[in-house]
This record gives sequence, C-alpha cells and structure tokens, in this order.
Amino acid sequence: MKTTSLSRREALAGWLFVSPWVLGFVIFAAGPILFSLGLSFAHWDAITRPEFAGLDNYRRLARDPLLIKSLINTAYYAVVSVPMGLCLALGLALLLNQKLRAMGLFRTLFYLPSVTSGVATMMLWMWLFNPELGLINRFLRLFTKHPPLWLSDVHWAMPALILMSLWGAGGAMLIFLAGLQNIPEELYEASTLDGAGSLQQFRHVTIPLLSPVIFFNFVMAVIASFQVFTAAFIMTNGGPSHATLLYVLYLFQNAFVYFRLGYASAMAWLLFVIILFLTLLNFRLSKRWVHYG
Amino acid sequence: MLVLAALCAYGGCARHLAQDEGRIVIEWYAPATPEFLKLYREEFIPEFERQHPDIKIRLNASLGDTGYDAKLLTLIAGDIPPDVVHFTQVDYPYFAAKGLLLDVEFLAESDPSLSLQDYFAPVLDGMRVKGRLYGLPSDFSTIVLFYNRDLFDHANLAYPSANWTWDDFVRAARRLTVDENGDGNPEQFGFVTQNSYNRWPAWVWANGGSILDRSESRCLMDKPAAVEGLRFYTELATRMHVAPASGQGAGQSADDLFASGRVAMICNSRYAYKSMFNMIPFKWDVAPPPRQVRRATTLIWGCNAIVRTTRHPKQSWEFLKFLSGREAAFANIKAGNAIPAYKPVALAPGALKGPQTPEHDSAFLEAVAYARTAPTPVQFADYSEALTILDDAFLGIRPVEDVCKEFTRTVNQVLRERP
Repeated sequence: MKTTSLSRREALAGWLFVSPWVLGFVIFAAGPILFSLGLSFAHWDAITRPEFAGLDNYRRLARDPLLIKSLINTAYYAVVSVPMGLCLALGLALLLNQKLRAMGLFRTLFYLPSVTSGVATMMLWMWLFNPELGLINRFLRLFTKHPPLWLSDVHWAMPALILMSLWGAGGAMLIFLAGLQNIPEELYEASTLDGAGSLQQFRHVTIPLLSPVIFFNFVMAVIASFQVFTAAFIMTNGGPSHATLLYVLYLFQNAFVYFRLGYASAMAWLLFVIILFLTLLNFRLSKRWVHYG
Repeated sequence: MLVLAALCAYGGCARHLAQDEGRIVIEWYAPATPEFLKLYREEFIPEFERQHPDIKIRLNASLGDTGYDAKLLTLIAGDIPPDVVHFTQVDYPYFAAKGLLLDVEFLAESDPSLSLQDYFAPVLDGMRVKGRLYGLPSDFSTIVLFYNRDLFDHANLAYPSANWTWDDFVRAARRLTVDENGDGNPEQFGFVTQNSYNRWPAWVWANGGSILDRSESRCLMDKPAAVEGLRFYTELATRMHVAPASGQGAGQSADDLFASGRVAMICNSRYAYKSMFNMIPFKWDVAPPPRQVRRATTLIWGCNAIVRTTRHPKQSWEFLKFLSGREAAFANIKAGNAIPAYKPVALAPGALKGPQTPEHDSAFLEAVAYARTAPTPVQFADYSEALTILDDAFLGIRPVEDVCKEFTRTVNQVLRERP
C-alpha cells in the first residue's frame, strides 16, 4: 500500500514540475492552434465575422504564384544553409575540442554570436553587406571592380542571408562539442595502436559515434530553416523582386499586412505538414546512418 | 489560479471602465513617435480636456508601420476597440471600406459648428470612400521637388523653375550627376527615385496616364501614356543613371541621400521639414515638380476617425472636430507637422512661415490645385501586394511594358473581388 501512495506522490510531483509547461501550452498555445485550424477553413480579416469558406484557402495555396515562389526560396535556403551551417559547427567543435590553454575563452567567443540579439546583429550585417561602404565589399574590391550588390541584387540577396545564417552556428557547435566529449578516449587509443591516422579516426570513430548528435542537429536545423523569418523581415522585407520572400515571411505578410488571417492559417498548417513530413523522412533515413552505441 | 483570475479581472475592469471620476473616457489610438507624443500630451489632450471637463482622453499610442495596424486589428478582434483612431492615407481606406468607421458625412452636414468647406478639397476627395466621408483630415502635404541650392550653384545651373518640363529636369539631373573617379559609380546623383506607391503615380499622371479609372473598378496602367510615365520615372535610375540604381545608395534612405548631399533633387513632402531643419548644412529650396503633358503630384495626409461601435459617438465627434480645428491646426504648425487641413489657419498670410522655411515654401500650397491622393482602392491590402510586381521595373530587370501588363492584370483581378 505504501508503494502505491509513494508512486502516486511521485506522479503528482512530476505533474507539478511539468505544470508550468502544460499550463502554458494549454492556455497560450493549444487554443490558438485549434483556432487557427478552424480559421484555415474561413475568410477572416479580424474586423468582420469569420465566414466559412470550405476549402477555398487550401485551393488558393495551389494557385498562388508567390506561395510557390516562397516555397522554392525556402527550399533553396534550407538546402544550402543547413549543410553549410552543420559543417561549420562541426569544424568549430573539433577545433574547440583540442586541449589548449584558454580554451574556455575561445568557446565563449565562438558561442557569443548565438546569444546576441537577432535584430541588432542583423543591423550590423546590413552594414557589412552595404554595397559601397560595407566591409565585405571593401575587401572584395581588392580583387574585382564590381563586387556583388548583396541585399540589393536579385541573385545575391539569398546567398547573403545564407552567409549571415552561419553567424548562428554556435548553438549546434555547443551540442557537437558535448557529443565529442562523450566519445571514450580508449577508442582513439585503440585505433592509434591499430595504426589509424587522424583522418581515418575521424571517419571511423568520430563520425559514427557522433552520428546521433549529428542527426539531432540536422533535424533541428532543417526545422529551423523552414521557420526563418527575422532575417528576411528586417533586412530585405522579401525583396528585391521577391528574391528573399521566405515562407514564414509571406505567411506573416498575409496575416498582418494583407489581413488574410484564414489564408495565413492555411499556410501555417501546410508548413506544419511539410515540416512533419521532412522530419519523419529524416527519422526513416536515419536508420541507415545513425549508430546508437 | 487566483493570480490569473485577479489579472483577468484587473485587465477587464481597466479596459471597460469607460468612466473616470464621472468623466466619459474616450480612447484615442494614435502613432507613438516621440514628436507626436509630445504634441498629443502637451497640446491636444490638455487643451481638449480643458474645453470639455466632462471628457477624458486616454491615449493608446502604438509604434511601428506594420505593428500599428496589426495592434489595432487585435484590439478590434478582442472586442476592445478604441473610440477614435488616427490614420494616414495608407491604412484609412481599408478600415473605412470594411465598415469599421462611423460615416461622418451626415454629422458634418448637420453640425453648424463645422463646415467641410474649411478643408482642402483634394484631401477630402482622397478620403471619400464610395462618396462618403469616414473621418476628418488633420494635416496633409503635397509632394514637391526639393533641391540642393549649393549643388546647383556649383554646377552653374539655374534653379528649377515652375515651368520645368521633364526634358529640363533630365538635363539638369545629368549635369548634377558626377562620377569624379570614373569608376562608373557616381559620387553624386541628380535625383533619387523612390519605389513608393505615393511617389511614382505623379509621373504617370504628369504624362497624361491614369492608374485606375474614376470608379476604381479598372486598372489603366497598360495604356501607353501610363507605361511611358512609369518607364521615364524608373529609367532615371535604370537607364539614364541620373539617380542611384538599386544598391548604389550606400544603404541610405532617399531622405538621407538628399540630406547628405549625395543627390541634388528629391520629391518629398513638407513632413520632411522637421528632420531637415536640424540636419542639413547646405542651402536648399523647393519648387513645383517638373511637368510633362500636365502638372500632377501626389498628396499625403493624416486624419482621425470614429470607430463605428463606440459607445460615445457624440463625445468622439467633439474630439474629432477639435483635432481638425483651429487650435489643433496652430499646434500642428508649431510642431512642424506639415500643413493643417483646416484652411482658415493654413491659408492665413504667413501662417506657415517659420525661421527656417525655404524661400519658395508656397510651392506646397500651389500644388494643391493639381495634387491628388495616390490610388487607394477599397481592396488596398490586395492592391498593395500587387504593387510589389513593380519592383521589377524599378530594378530594371524586366521590360516596363511587361511589368505594367502583369500589374494591370493582377490589379483588375483584385478590383473584381469584394473588399
């Protein structure tokens, strides 16, 4: 009898501990989520009464050229920025995993960009990308007379945003670093005795043992890349000529600039389905390359 | 739970308490830029409350371009709308067309203390939605040509005259475009074009074109005169290179380019005076915008409107009249807030003159004769999305005819939908 009351008390304690999250979710998230599902089948401008619209909003998704454009832009962003970001984060983590003096300082320095305020750093990057006065083009002018116009150029605006996204590699780097430190030293010793060089060690020891961490970072990075908003909102507002119209920015514009809250809700649910599909696909594919030691 | 309940109760009460020591509370939703706040808190509200001891004005000030309307929508959706709202020509038509605002045409006609004749006709015309008025204008400005006198003197050029045509304008702009080191990237430009819905229409009109037909049911931007007007305006940057092309402006806004002396001419409103007076080290003046087959320019304005569901329409109307009346007009002038929409004050000799107003300041009032509000059809939200199609013309990456055709097709589709 005593054990059940204990387990009951533990369960109660457990619920109490998670209650801030549960309450927060129920009060602030669950309601709006359900509301937006309902809205996606309606026309609503926030002023007049919502009007049932059946599948209108979903049909519009298929016909909206800007939606297609924003999907292509987002895919472009994801396909380039995710691998680049992960490689950089892993490279940094490897460097920061060395046993050197003042390593704590270096780790702090490389992580710092990830905790600085998004909007402030974007203002900074807008100056870096400034075609005439920016540091980047001042440097490039040493080699070419006509460096890219970056955010003002249809072809260079998206690469600029992707380059800037590398600035936030610190988060994934930190997780990689923790993963690297979890790899037992004996395995490196054993492989050294077997005559493996450092490249072979990296290929046959580090990568396989780090694969769950790589997988985690990859999944999170893919999800995040489909939700990028601030950079395009602050730096380009989707321009020039829709070149940086990312999906969530277009969603925001529909909701709060063009006041089509029903259509924006349908867009949000389409995004949910896309991200869910990609994440399930990732889990499926992960069986081939992720090793859980 | 208790805390939550208390919070809800507090929020609910504070919001719905429409009385304050026996006074009726009018909530006024207005922009929160520092100079406006000062004007509201130190001039408008105290003076109005002094004249109307039974009314208290509670200011709900909000920042941001996108945020301003989004917060207003949230207040409305949450069923706690303000009573009186400040709008500009950008957002007013949308809210008026949605039936959110009180029709004040009738109120204005039946109130002997107010005459609509006292307000500038082109501003009222711009505010009428399907022939009805949903607010009163408080301040406005026409768009005219600002020029840097020092740069004109330096180039030995005559100042822009009232009879300037586009040819005269381009000739001067060419002379004022200077590429000293010959790197193809001029250090100084004659003019700066702006991809803004209330700038380029002036050039379409001046060329004899129209953007929409009179009933705002059809787009006319594919007609030759309109295409040529937009072509001329965009090609100042993309082909004639007398204005900075995309990426050539060093990331500076058009206003900053003029203020820093990098462009010699800009089309701007009298609202720009405020920042220019303190900032500009060179001599400058204003002139009518150059003409082509006719004189034309755009008009921008601010107004106040009453939310239809207000429980205090009478008190709100008193406040509206005050904001557009004599005292507010003087306060607007004092604050450097462009031109009061109230004619008796604005047209009084010397009323607008300040220690720093440029010599030909009267150009703004002269332009009222041919100025119009840029089209703001009742489907403005969709229309403003269609405007992004014009980006390609301003970037010079697609023939202007094609851009105009696509714009016309899309806008026609937009205009067929209900607001």
